[in-house]
Amino acid sequence: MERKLKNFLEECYNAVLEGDKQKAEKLATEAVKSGYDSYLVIEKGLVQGIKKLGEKWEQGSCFLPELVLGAEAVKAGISILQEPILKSKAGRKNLPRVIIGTIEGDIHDIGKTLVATMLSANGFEVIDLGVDVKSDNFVKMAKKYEPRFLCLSSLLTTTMQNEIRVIEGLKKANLRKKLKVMVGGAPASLSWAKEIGADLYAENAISAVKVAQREIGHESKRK
Amino acid sequence: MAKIIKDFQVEVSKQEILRLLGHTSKPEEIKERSKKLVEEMISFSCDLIKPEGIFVIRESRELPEECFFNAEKVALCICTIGKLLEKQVERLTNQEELTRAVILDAIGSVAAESTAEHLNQVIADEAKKKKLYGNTRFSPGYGGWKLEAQRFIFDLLPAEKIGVRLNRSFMMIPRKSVSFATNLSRNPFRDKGSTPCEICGLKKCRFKKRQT
Repeated sequence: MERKLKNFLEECYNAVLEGDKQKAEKLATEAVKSGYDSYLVIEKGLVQGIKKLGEKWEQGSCFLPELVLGAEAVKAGISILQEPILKSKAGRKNLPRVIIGTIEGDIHDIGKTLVATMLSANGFEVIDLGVDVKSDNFVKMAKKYEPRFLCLSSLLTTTMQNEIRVIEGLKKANLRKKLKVMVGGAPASLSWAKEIGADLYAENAISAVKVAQREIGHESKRK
Repeated sequence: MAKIIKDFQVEVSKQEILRLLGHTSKPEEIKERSKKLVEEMISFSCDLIKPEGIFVIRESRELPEECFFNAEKVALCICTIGKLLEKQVERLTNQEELTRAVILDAIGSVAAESTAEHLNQVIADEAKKKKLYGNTRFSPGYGGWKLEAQRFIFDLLPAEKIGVRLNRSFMMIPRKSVSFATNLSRNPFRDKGSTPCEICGLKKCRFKKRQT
């Protein structure tokens, strides 16, 4: 890798570590103008920065607002760098798609939005359905957008029961085997995921990214 | 008869906000930029926190819940900081100002807990007049008490008088509201002083308060 590009990627990495949204936007615009490979800038620059922040957060040495500032910087950069990618059909296919929402009866928003933002900052295409999403709507949107992952968030023991209805709905629509269902939120656990027939469980936003990336790795190996 | 408590201020501890935001090391290690954002949102939140509460004291034998077995009387309470703060969290989230939204949401959680603490103190003072001792408050959905017990508390209190309602999943609206019960007894409780974290069944929790 040429020195100039290496320094440029390091600047992108540092902009994310600093949570500097303006700098990330400026660098992304510069990358597009200079004709740098957008994927390379996202993967080797911006995403490396958010990975580092995620590691620090898991170790307890990063404050949540700093992690979110970093994620916002990545998202801002990606939205500029994605333009040339989205123009090509091939590029569009390369972004793993996620549909996420808080389950019916539950209006908790922040945790789910954090997961959506971290996934988006790590190169996933995220469709956020919002809160209080009916099981039928999850199924309808899964049919329409064909995501790799369907992420269900629930913060209450009463609402998590509605996740069962989403899985039943996916089976009826013959979509169950076409995507992976991930559950998360305070009352959820790995045993809950197994009990209702979900594929994956994530404890927090960083874990959601890791779990999804690990699953993509497994799928690639199987192919 | 239910009593409404309003027109009081609650302390919003900065240290507690930082703890909820996952800060585990020393405050001086927080970046200047984050510090400023937290300060900015604390100032912004001042006019958004409108604490109010309603409570009632009942004979424990009149109540169906098993968790009141060692008390003579039980205080049941619902309190809130109102809906203004969460409307702003929603607005900031929609405007993609997620960092500010996350900080403001944490401030709201701390303010709601402070409101509950204030109400629990009011209850303790009232109990003292009746020569009763109070205990740690506990809430539906925590420490093994089922979330469905919300219905029982809301049946006993006219929560609409402080603008709080339950949705069909037993979730309180506004979200930054707390419902709780406090056991009252003529003799001091042996487990007096337990923190909600000590009672809670969650073994692995990032937000668990450390024992001092």
